[in-house]
Amino acid sequence: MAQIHSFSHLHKICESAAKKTNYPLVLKELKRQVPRDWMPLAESTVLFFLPRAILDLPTKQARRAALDSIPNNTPVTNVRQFVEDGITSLWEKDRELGKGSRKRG
Amino acid sequence: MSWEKDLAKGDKVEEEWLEKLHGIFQQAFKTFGPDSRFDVSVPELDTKIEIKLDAKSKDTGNIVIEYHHNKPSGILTSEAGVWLFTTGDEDIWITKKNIQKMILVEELSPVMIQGPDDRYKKAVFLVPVETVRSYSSSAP
Repeated sequence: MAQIHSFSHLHKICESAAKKTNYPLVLKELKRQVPRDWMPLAESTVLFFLPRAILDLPTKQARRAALDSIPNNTPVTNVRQFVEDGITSLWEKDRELGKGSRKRG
Repeated sequence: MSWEKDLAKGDKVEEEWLEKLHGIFQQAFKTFGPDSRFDVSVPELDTKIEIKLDAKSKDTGNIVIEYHHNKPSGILTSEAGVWLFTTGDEDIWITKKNIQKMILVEELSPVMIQGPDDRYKKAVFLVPVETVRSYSSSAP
């Protein structure tokens, strides 16, 4: 388990862990890398990286599976809605910027 | 400024807005207590409002959007669909969805800050006022 040198270090770990996309695996990765004292903050911070990580998955089925992996009993209520709203926002922005050519099933 | 003074000023702003809203919406009410998930509710509009006094933004140029203060907080826990940031010079109305959109689309990075009276540091996004303005909407 790594020592956390700074908040930006935690930030990087969260960004990387979010790429696991499956929520239990994201938490597992955080627990592997983040000392217990920092876990609550890591669990909050990772929520801002999950929408991009899930949107970047190659297929609709993979994105749906990632969303479905978010349980209802998270410390933050409505995590799934929060992540879903984030995905929609990013998708709309990508479309505006003409990034729709990115292969998405 | 002490936490108590900040709280009192925030409460005063909430009271003022409740009074304004009462002019149109008689059922509007304000919540009490530090763990309230919103500040003002307008049942006629089925709308909950979070009111944030951020007078320091006049000096710093940034609006503070909190998401973790020893536990999930602010944007992660508020049930308010509409937020009002009042700087003293202007009132900026923005939906919660647009706050989230702004954070993600602008790829904002959070920072930890600690006020003089804060027991714990808090994780926040410091967002330039003009950026918040660009995602704002009209009052509900």
